[in-house]
Amino acid sequence: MKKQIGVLPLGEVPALVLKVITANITAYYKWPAAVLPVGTIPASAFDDRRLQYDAGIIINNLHAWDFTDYSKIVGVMSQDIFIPIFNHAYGHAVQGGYLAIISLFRLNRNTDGSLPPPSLFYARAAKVALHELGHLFSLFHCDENKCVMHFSGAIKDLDTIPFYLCRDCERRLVP
Amino acid sequence: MDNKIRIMIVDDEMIVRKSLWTWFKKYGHGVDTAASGPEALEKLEQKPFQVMFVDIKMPGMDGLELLEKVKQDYPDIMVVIITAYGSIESAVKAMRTGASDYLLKPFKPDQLSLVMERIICQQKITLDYQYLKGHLEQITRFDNIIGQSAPMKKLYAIIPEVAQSDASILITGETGTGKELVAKAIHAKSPRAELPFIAINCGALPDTLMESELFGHRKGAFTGATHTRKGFLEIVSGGTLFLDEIGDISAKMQVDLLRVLEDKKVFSVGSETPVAVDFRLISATRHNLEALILEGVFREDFYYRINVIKIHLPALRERKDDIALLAKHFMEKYSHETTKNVDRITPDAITLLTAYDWPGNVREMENAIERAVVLSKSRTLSTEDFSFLKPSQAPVLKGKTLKEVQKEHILQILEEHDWQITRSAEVLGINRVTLHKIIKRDNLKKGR
Repeated sequence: MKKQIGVLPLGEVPALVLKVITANITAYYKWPAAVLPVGTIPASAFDDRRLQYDAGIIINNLHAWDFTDYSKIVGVMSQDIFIPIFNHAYGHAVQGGYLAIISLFRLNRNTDGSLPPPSLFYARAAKVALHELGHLFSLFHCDENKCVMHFSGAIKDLDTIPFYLCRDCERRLVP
Repeated sequence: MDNKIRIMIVDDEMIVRKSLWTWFKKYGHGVDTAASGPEALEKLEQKPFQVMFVDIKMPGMDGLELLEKVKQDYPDIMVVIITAYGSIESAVKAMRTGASDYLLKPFKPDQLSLVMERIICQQKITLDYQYLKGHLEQITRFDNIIGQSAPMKKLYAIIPEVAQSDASILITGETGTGKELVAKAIHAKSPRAELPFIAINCGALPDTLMESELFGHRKGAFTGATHTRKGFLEIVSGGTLFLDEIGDISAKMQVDLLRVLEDKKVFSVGSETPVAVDFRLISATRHNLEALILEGVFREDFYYRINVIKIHLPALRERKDDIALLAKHFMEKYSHETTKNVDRITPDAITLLTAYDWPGNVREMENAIERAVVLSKSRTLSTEDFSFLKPSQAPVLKGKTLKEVQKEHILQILEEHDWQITRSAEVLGINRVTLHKIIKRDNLKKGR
């Protein structure tokens, strides 16, 4: 039997977002997924100069946690994250690994600063989670813009990509 | 187009190298990292990269210095400068030195994506250029014959012309000049191209074996002929027969072949029934057949029969313009065959190869490049990789007396054999006492 994919809230995260992410993982990757109990964001990951959390440090910390019942983990947090050298990140995953995290911080604002409707916010969160999970399944960024693995550098890009994988990425999917 | 490229990240901060490495891996690019300029240059010697992301501020060799060296030695590599010190001067200097772009740390992921898009687009233009350049190089070669010198261009013009006729062709030229390649090219361009091309090295076969190979034999024709076997003259029917080293065949074989050429019929060994044959004959020799005729070794009538059209192939030393082209061709060939990343050759090495006389011609050169590629420890062939090539003898002999030449030859043999008198005397074909006398008389000394 397939081991479940765990959706791990880190700190305070809206319960409905977690449910939407879980449902989308099951729908698009045909993989069972479940929400895990809330975890604590490692304090060492906070960069007080940038006022952001270092995504790499969080993932390194998660390696020490016990996730034996789960095949892959997608951490979800409300705070802003970064990858050194970049000024922010929507999500981060180690290619072919089993741990990924996503941040909701920048998903709840449109480019013009307005608030998106809740459904759009949930859709963005689900797409980022599906994208990072794709990296855990060894998928690369895809040139096809009708693919969830297409890189989104800005919110407007995220809104134009679909939830699903293109045919090529579907074929390359390594469970 | 495959958008995957080979990237090197050069930054003294491990966290930056790791971040960019992880990022580029998500695109499936081949990524390597270096913590300093010297380490990056060392890695460039080992394998090729298309793009480098270089931090401007590094201890020791800084990014600008590295950029200069890279642009000097590897002008095709695209370099993107990364800096947290966003001074206009350093950015301008970097762009003037040849940087393709620059990024200010920290940058937005989509800024990096934009830079990568531009790079991939530039790479495509470069690939298109290389394809067109390769197409142009095709013009400088004919089948597998390579060269763009005047004698080779003449040869390329002759081949299609002579290929259309059925006249016998004699190809002359020193050993290793590519006589068989030319014969194959003629066959390939001829109306017989779809039929067999059979090559026989006459110098390698004893007379009796050659007779059996060419004419075939009937079962029981001689001891060991346990079954009837068709000869090549029959098997080649309709195609081209290439007789290499025709100057080495015996007088009897010359007569037998002359008869076949005149009658277009063969009698296999032990048979009295003729078999009609149809082939085009191309012969080749490294000898001067006219001289052999004068010596009475080669039949004049046979010579005129095989020499309806004569093609002379120049020695490599007579077409030195082609040496760089050939060196590149063989380097690519053996780099591919050995799966070693050897893709560069220094100008000094080309000068050395051009200065050498290549007595074994293209074949010797091919072997030399193969050896250099196999033993090379870096991706660049330099003069050290060709240290086994002995300096040319021919120019030294010009204007020298017999005595001077003798003295130099003895000295060379002594040096080659580490001044071992017995071995050197053996090679020179004289006895030890005589060699000692010559050394004393001519005042020959070690290391001169």
